[in-house]
Formats: sequence, structure tokens, C-alpha cells
Amino acid sequence: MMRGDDTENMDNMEIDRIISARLKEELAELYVRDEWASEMMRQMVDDGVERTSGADERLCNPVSRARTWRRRCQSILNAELEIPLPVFVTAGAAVVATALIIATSWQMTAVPPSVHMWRVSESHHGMAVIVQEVAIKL
Amino acid sequence: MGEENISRLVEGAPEAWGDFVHCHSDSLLRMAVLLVGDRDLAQDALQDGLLAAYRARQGFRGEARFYTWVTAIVINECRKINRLSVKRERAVRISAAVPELAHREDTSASTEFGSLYNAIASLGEQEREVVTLYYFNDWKVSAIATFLGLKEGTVKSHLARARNRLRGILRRIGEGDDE
Repeated sequence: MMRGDDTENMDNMEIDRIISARLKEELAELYVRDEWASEMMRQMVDDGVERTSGADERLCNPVSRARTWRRRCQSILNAELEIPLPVFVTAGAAVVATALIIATSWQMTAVPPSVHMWRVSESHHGMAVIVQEVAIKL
Repeated sequence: MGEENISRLVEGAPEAWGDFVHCHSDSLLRMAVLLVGDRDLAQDALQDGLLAAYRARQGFRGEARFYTWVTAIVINECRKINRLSVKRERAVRISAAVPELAHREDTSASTEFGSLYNAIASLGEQEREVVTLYYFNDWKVSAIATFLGLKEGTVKSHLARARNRLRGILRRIGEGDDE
């Protein structure tokens, strides 16, 4: 005959098994896009990460970064922190302009075209998201 | 993973890292989304974690499996992001003008996946790490305790509380399926 504790443990083991399986099932559709993984690998290996600047690294996954930046922009605009809006907008415009110049210069670099074209299109898309969000807020 | 593969990872061989990223990045991303509660932030954590692991590869001493070592680095990146998020949310909370933003951020983190994910996303950071490592990564209680620097009893307490909560959610899911 089992003691109450044993029964409880068996019950917990079964519950744990169900929770674990169900949790993995809930997340099963979440995966890393191939092009993102390839780009990450290119950053790590081809260029040599030691030689990669922080700015390049941050642009490794521009759409994801753009979404993060968009939330941060929203937080700053909504929280009414002690950053005057004109200063924020001017600084933001300068950042976007600089990023566009960098992105365009990448577009001019033709080797290897597939990688650079992907980066450029993703960067433009990401920046368009930021500009659109800031414009809506204003 | 064989010794030969590990030595190639430590050397930084491109094809070895390519295989590693393609084999394990999905799993690491899913773990990260449980820890940070947001798909985009999880991608950031994974990206920063893998880059950090690549940089630190020659510091790998073989005291744990290579995958476990990288997992620990990604978890650290998740903690950094959580710390930044806490600061950001605190800045948002101090303003009375933004209730709608707080609401939107909460829901964006909690409606994307299923009920168990939502329940885990609402836990405190330490409890969330324990639950994620136990239920998602299938780590043993002793391994979790060692990794997080907790007593095994503390880990078991976290798990017992979480189990009770998740059991209730499973029951509700079951009732929903029955209807």
C-alpha cells in the first residue's frame, strides 16, 4: 500500500509531465527565421565578431530592434520624462538620417549582394516602423 | 555533442557554429520568451547571448555541457533585458498619464501564446527561471539549485507554488475542452 506522500508524488510527477508537454506545445510555433540565423552567423563568423562595431551588431536583426526601439520611443513619449519633445524629435531625426545614409552605403556595396540587399530592405522596413510610430504619436 | 565538435566550437569553426545555431536556436528562443515575456525581446536576448558565447568561447572549461554553458549565457542576457524592462516600466508607472500604455504592454506580453505561458509570464523573475528550467529545459531540481545558487528546498517551494497555480489552469483548459 502506498503512503499518502507517495501518492502525492506520483500525482505531482504526472502533473509535471503534462505541464511540461503542454508548455512545449504552446511554444512549438515559435522558431528562429532562417535568414536571421544566417545573418547572425555571418556577423559572428564571416566578419569576425571582434572586428564588428557595436552599431553593426545592433543592426544584426533590424526588425526586432526596430520593434524594441518603437516600444522605447512610445515609453519616452508617453511617460513625459524630462526630455523636451523637440530635442527628442531632433535627435531621432538625426539618428534615422544617419541610419539611412549607412543603409544606402550598404546598398552600394555589391558583395555579397544577397546578404546586403536583405539587410538593407529589413533596415528600411524597421526604420519605417519607427518613423510611422513617432509620426502617429506626434 | 562529441569532443571533436566541442573543440571546433571553441576554435570558432564557422560550420560548427552554424550547426550549433541551427540545432539549438529555436529551443533557446523559446526559453528566452518564457524568461522575458516578449517575442522581440527574446530575439534580442538570444542574439546577444549567442554573440556573447561566441566571443567567450575560449573561456569554456568543459565543466558543463556546451549547450548548458550557452544556455546560462542566454539566461544572463534575459536578466539584463528584464532589468532594463523593470526600469522602463517604473518610469512609465510614475507618470499618471499613461494607463493605456501600461495596459497595452501587459497584454502584448500575455496574449501571444497559451494559458501556461501567460501564467509563467506573470511570475516573479526567480520563480519564472525555476519553472522554465524545470518544465521547459527539463533540468533536475539539484541542477537548478546549483545554477541559480539556491537551496534545493527553495527550488521545490517555487515549483510547488507554481504547480498548484498551473494545475488550476490545466483544469480550466480541460473544462474548456469538454464544453
